[in-house]
Amino acid sequence: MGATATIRGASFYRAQRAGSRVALYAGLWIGVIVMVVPFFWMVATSLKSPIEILEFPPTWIPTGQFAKTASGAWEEVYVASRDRDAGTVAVRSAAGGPARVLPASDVRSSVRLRFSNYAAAWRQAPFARYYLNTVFIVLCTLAGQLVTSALAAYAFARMRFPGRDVIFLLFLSMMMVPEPVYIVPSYIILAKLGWINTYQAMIVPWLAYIFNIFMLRQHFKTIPDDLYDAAIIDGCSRFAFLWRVVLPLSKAVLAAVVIFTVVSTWNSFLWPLVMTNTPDVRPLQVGLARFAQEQGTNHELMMAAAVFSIAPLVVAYFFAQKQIIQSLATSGIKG
Amino acid sequence: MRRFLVCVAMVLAMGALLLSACSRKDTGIQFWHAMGGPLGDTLDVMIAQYNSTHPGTEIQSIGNANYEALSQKIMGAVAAGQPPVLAQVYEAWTAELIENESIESLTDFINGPNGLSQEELADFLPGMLENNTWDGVLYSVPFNKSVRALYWNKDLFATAGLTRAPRTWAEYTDYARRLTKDQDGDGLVDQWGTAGEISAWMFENMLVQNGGSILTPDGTATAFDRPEGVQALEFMVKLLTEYGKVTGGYEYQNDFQAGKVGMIEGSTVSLSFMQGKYTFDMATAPLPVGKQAGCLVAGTNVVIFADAPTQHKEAAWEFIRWFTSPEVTARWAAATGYAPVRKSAMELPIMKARFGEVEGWGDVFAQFGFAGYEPRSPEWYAGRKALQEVGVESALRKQKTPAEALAAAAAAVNAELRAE
Repeated sequence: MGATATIRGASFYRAQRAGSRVALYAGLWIGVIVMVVPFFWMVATSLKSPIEILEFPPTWIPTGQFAKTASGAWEEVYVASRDRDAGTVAVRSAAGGPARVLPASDVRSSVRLRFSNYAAAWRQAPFARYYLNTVFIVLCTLAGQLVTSALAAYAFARMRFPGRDVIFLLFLSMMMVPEPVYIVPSYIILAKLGWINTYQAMIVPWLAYIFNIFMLRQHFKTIPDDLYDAAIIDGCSRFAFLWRVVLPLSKAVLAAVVIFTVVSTWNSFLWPLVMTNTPDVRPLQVGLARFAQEQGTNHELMMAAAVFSIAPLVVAYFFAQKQIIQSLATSGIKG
Repeated sequence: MRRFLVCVAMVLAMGALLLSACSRKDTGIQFWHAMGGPLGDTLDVMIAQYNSTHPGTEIQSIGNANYEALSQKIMGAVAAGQPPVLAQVYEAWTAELIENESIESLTDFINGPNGLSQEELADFLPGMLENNTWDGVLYSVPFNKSVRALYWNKDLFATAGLTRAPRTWAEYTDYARRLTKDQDGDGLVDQWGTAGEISAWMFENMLVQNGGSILTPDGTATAFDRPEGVQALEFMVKLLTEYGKVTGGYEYQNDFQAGKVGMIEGSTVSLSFMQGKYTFDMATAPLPVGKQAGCLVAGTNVVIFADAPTQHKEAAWEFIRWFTSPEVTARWAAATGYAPVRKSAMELPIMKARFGEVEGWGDVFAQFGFAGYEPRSPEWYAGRKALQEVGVESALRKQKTPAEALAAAAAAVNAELRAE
């Protein structure tokens, strides 16, 4: 009796575990779909023809229409209209000209990936230069932000000085000011410095970033005072405490700062657009704007350019994935 | 730690490499504009041709993606005392730049040795120079001016038994009704007569066609909320909500290109964008006529900034003179769909060829001959936004009747006008 109960219990728990596992996987799959579908859509759009992009219902896999020519070969065409009752299809050749009506059996569709969109997009602007510029701006900004954010956050979290909280509140209130409000005054300052159309204009004003300071400060505050007292008693300086104790304990938050800074600098658009004039200093995002015009956007070219613009970020993430997850998992003691 | 230092060293090395490349000075004549896509490409090609045929001058084409960014950049540059030499501007910005004495009067250039004769001035399309004149002084020249056109799908028209574009408001709604269909018989409409975005420009055109005007003649109060305006908005709402659909952004244009919509109104510039991206037989036509034919020009002008060195300003004028000459403006118009700013340009072979390529295009461009202009005060620039958001949008979304919506918009715009 007792044994049976145990067995029942075990299978019951096993079933429950299996149930929660199903729920877990379902949840994860939803997450995967939410994250992957826009990405997939971007890649699919980048491989379509401008006409296919506008089709409704949309095609998930880029598809081309082909019609049999008199010689029996298949020629790529656009379908103008379909007459289901008569079983015919009106097609136009890709080069234009009048439509011709063919029996439906002479028209077939198959997967057609237009990699030529990538070449066309790449040729539209000096993207190699834009890449170099973006990478340089991102690395400089990142290095600067790590230094200034760590030092400022340490001061706000651990040091006592008059007006500390007021200054911190002032910092926080600056986070509420939207970019269009300060972009014109910033332009004036940079112009007076003679920095318009230079790398400095895109790097120096962003060397300190309040959100990062805030994030690090919140984390630094969770490191126990006991650690600090013990270190100071052992003759550790304040900077050494930051370098040897606080930062190693903050890898997870620092990883977040790195990701946040890299992504936001990589994607920054309005600031570099306004502060620069020529392609030799402009970053990728400004280059992408080339595909939009007053009355519409070249979606296929823009998506192709978007794919190769974010590809380095995705590749970098795959390589750093282990480190990023590890640093998030082993974030050390908390207060 | 060592790896970190190696990284830092690499960054610095790369920086030194790159910074050395960017230390060169800008020596050219900067032209700030917001032309992107094929329009920007056309402009770049034309500027490159100008530079190669005018040794000693280099016009630098500096694209700024959109008018919002361009306006902020100009504001900042003027305040810092470092403007470009040439820039694309809306009339409302020009008014402010004149007030700050930031831009150059063009009178001396026109009357100078390299100027324009009376015949040449008379050759500009009607209204184009007047629209760029403030207190009798010409401050800017028309650059990218467009009007609205009706684009229609000949294949869909033919299946509905229609052979030509609507010419009157009555035909407009009637054709739109006949083109609205449920093709697959599922009880839902899947082919629309027309489609459009929430656009103050569309309403303003219909207002003019209905004999109304935007502001009172002295420009101090709204006139669009009078009965002519209410009727025009009622017509627009009926057209777009009963026999058409209201979409965001350029979706209406996409739907038209996909063959789901019989006809749309759009800017003449839309043709350069839609070209080659549809599979039906397309034609164009002038806007249907209400009580009268009417349309309003949209687009920007080009100014020369006062702070630039004299020889740069002279070179900039030379470029303007070249760009507005009949042959060049005709090339610009044929490639982009913007107006050729000169009457004689309409007769040149390149324009005639374009009119031959696109059915109805000549009649569409003939609208430039009688087109009107919007008020150009900075107050109206803000007021127009209120007309679009408070007036046109709430009526098209059926939150308010057209009369209520226009009354609310008029209150907002009048407050803006009084704040002057």
